[in-house]
Amino acid sequence: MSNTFRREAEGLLQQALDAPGATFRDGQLEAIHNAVELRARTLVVQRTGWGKSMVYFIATRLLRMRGAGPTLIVSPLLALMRNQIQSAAPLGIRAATLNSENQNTWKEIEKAIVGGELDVLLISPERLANDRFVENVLGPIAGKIGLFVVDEAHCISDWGHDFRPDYRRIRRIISGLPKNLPVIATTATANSRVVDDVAAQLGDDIHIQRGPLTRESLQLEVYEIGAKPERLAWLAEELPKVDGSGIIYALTKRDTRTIARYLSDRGIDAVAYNADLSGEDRIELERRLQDNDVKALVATTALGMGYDKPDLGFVMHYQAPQSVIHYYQQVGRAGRGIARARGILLSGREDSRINRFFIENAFPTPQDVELILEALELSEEGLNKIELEAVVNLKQSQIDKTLKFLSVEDNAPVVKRATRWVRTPHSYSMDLVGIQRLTDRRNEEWAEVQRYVSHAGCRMRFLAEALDDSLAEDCGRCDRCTGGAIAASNVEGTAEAIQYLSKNSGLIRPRKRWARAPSLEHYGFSGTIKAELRVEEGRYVCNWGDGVWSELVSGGKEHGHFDETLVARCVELVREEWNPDITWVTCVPSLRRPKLVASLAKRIANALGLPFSACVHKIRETAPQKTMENSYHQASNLDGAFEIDETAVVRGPALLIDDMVDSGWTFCIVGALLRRSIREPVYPLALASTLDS
Amino acid sequence: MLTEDTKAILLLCGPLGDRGQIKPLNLAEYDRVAVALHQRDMRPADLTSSAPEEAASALEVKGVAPDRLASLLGRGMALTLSYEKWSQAGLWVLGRGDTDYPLRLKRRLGAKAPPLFFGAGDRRLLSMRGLAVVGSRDASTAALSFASQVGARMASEGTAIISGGARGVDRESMMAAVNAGGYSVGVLADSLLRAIASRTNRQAISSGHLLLLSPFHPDARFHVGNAMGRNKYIYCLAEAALVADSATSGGTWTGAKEALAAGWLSVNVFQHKTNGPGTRDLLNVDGRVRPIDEAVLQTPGSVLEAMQDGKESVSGSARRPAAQMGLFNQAKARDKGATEIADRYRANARGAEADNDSTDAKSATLVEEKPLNMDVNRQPELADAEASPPEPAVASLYEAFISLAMPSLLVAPLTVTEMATKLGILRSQAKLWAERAAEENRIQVVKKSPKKYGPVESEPG
Repeated sequence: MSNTFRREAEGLLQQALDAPGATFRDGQLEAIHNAVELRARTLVVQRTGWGKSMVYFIATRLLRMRGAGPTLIVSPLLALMRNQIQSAAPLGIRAATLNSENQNTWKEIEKAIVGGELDVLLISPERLANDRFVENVLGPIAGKIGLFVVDEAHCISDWGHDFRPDYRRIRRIISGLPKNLPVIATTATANSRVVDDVAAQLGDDIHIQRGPLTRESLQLEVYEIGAKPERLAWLAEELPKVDGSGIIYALTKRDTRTIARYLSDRGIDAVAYNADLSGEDRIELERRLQDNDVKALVATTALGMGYDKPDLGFVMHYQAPQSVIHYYQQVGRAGRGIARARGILLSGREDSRINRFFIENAFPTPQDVELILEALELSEEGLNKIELEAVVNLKQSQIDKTLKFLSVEDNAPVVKRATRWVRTPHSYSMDLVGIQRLTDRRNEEWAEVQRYVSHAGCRMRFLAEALDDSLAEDCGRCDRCTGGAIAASNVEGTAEAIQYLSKNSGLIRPRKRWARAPSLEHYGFSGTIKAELRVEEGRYVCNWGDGVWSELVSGGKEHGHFDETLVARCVELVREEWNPDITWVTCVPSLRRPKLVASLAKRIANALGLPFSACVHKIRETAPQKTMENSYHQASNLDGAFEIDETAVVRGPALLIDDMVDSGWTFCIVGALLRRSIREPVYPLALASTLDS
Repeated sequence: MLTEDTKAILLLCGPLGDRGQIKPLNLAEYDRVAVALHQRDMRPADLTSSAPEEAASALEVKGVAPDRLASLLGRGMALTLSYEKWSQAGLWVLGRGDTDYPLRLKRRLGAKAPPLFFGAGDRRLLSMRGLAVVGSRDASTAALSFASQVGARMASEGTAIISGGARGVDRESMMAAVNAGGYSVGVLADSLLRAIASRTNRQAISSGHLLLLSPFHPDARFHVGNAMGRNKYIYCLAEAALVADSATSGGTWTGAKEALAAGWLSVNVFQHKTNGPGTRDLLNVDGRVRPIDEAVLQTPGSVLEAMQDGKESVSGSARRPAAQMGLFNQAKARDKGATEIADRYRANARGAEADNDSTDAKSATLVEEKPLNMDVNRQPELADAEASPPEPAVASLYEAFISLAMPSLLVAPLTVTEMATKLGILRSQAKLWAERAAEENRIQVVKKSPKKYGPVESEPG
């Protein structure tokens, strides 16, 4: 490397940091030199905070000065993008991001790139996987890109703990690049196997920059608290004693909501963050955490990689994550710029069940793949998603997952042309051996997490070794090194939490559109559900499979009679928590078990002091609704099955009762028939919902 | 997977979805780049081994500004995004530098061979023996039925149908071949991506019986110029051609006349009273056109060979003068015929030895086209082997044969059949020439059974 180059790069560093004497960290200058002068591909494996972005920003500046086009950065987090755009400014780097939230500025940004007025463009992997975006937005400017940067590059590896379909495309995009376009890939979490694999994907003459990954400020603790209520009580008790703001990770979206509500009911400023939130809400929550304007975000892994907050005071886990690498990646976000931060893992009884479920369901089943490929194979020129739903009896989510999986395979068997999915000429057989290998690997990784929980030695040392990053001595800070629990491992208040958890009633949202025609041909229902046929928002008592109410419901179904306490709970829910304006009660009829729900509804009506009428009749037997996997089949299964006995109808708004609710089609259809007859609101009530389990 | 050569050619010539901000090179411009590369002893892949600006300024190409060249070479991200879309949908991209680029096409078109083909299907189909079948969309019922019978017959002979994939004669013959368990190659003028999505095509492609390719953008819409332009590739991929029906204007008519003028291969025209006037008039255009009817299908041996002027007509006495005449016409053809190729080869061989005299524009193409695994250092040796100084220009196809066969012979001795396959000529023709060359001591028999020819041992020193 020439001295001129060194001086040039160092000058830019000093300008960026506004520090005249500043010099590069080990490896930074070499990585920049590789990209700019040698046009080589570089993999940077360094912990968050090492200065990976400095590498690609300075490389961008130097390349721009040499006449190259702007840099394209693929990065998975919106908030990170905003941070990066800000940190690039002192270098005179003009950066912008194209994401689903700022579509109104895309044209402007496109023009700026073509006009040479932009130096860095940041996009998410999802954008890069969106054909229309690539063709219409990225396509016209892609010919100008001078440097390609891939953040969180460990996702490229099949061995990575994070199988992300969109990164398979990134892998192919890299391999399709000509040699004259430099690539910088970065990651903060990768063991040797992953590093080797990513390096192999990047090509033969890859340069690897690798530094130590562990963090000295982190104090690791583990508490085994089996039951959920006890863990909730623990959080409520211990969280106020922990310094700063931080993140509490949970495995499911429902848990994030439950925890956040429980904590905020107890005066702790905690908010749920998950994939159900809009991009706007997520940015807002990230900002609040960034500004210490919230005690804790209760998040799924949707609050993901690369989140960069130097003074993050703690990272807690409500359940153990899937692998040690996952864990380190999440806990490693704490304490980057502060002397002490806490990494607390609460290990619960349900951890294994949930993680195994994730592991077993990471890929579509061969049966689903076969069904969908066969349907597309037989079609003349492909099918859109709605047509596909009518042809194959699979859940919309299963169809989506399967199509996504298939479309990112190398030599994909399906491809999307406009709105239609089309079978390609590529022959295809699912790589079952590869999938099994990955599943086995993930099971091993999960076993390693369990070893971490019970590990008797230094926790940091355990993590470092799992990352193939040797640590000379014990950390001296973790619960093992300090010889005991740092926080209490048992707390009061569990009874309160148990009661809180048992009341997990929820909303039944009314459907707004009928399933695709001709699913409800007999009734003549199609298109939008007219307001005068729509049911009101309903309620269910509990989530199926969760807590004491669910046990009562399943016991009732088994014995053919629902317990009186369920009736009382329904009455409490209707009168005290919901209070709909109703004058009479009816129920969804069943030919298979005519008495079960009718008797429940009659008893509820009695307790409410309202009349009951069994005015809905079932005129033909139907297949169990739970065997119908998607809207088309669910609706079509009920077409023409119900009839209203006009002589038995009572006037006034009605409460419509059923035992179970899943897709909500039964309520929707029976409700519409009732509304057509009584012209008054209909309120659905179910004992248990299977939708969220 | 794309080779680095093909990546470079795509950067220079490919339509990469950037809405024409920078105009990709056309065929003539690309050929000048190929010349410039050759002069510097470079391959297309060498263009991507340094920064686009450096690579562009190091290469002086007449009529192509370095700025434009640099901008084209800087389109790497556009290239990989386009290729991702194409390859996931089932397409491959074949560059002129790739080893499986069809030899017949290269040999007949030389510098006019398209630098890039997009396609789907088993690429080995491109090296099969092939019969070109052309005809109008609205051909007579008799012509359609004949095209279909020929398709089925070719299937049984292991010969591919090469056609245009259009409605009418094209699809009749192609699908007849595929349905009979044979093979078809369709050279499309438009909408390749859409074509591979239809069920019939998709199934034939994935079972390995159909190959569709196009030199145009996979999303290109129908365009008369493109439809005309691709006709020559249909002919150039085949060993003989059949015109099933033709008017006296339009694509079939123009394409057939172009093929005849270039003398690429023998052209057979199906005669039937319900056919268009072109089928008759073509006979008057050129004396070499062979009229045929259903009777040809009664041929006990190979119908393809019968349509190629037939074995007997080359080795037998009756038609021999005519056949040789036809070959000479080829040599004289104005378009890039074998003469020029041989000529170029010679220039190459000399150029590699004598250096810096290589301004001949066409000489570069063969260097670039040379398969990667062929040893470039053998060129001076070849000049040695050709002990007698070559005549200034090739006077006959026999000379072209010697020049073209020699590099292969230097790699390994060949039988007559192997020579014929490599050069895309009849075995009988290869035999004739090989025996003459051995007689003149320009090559020699190095192995008895099976008889193999090799170069004459050059004298030591």
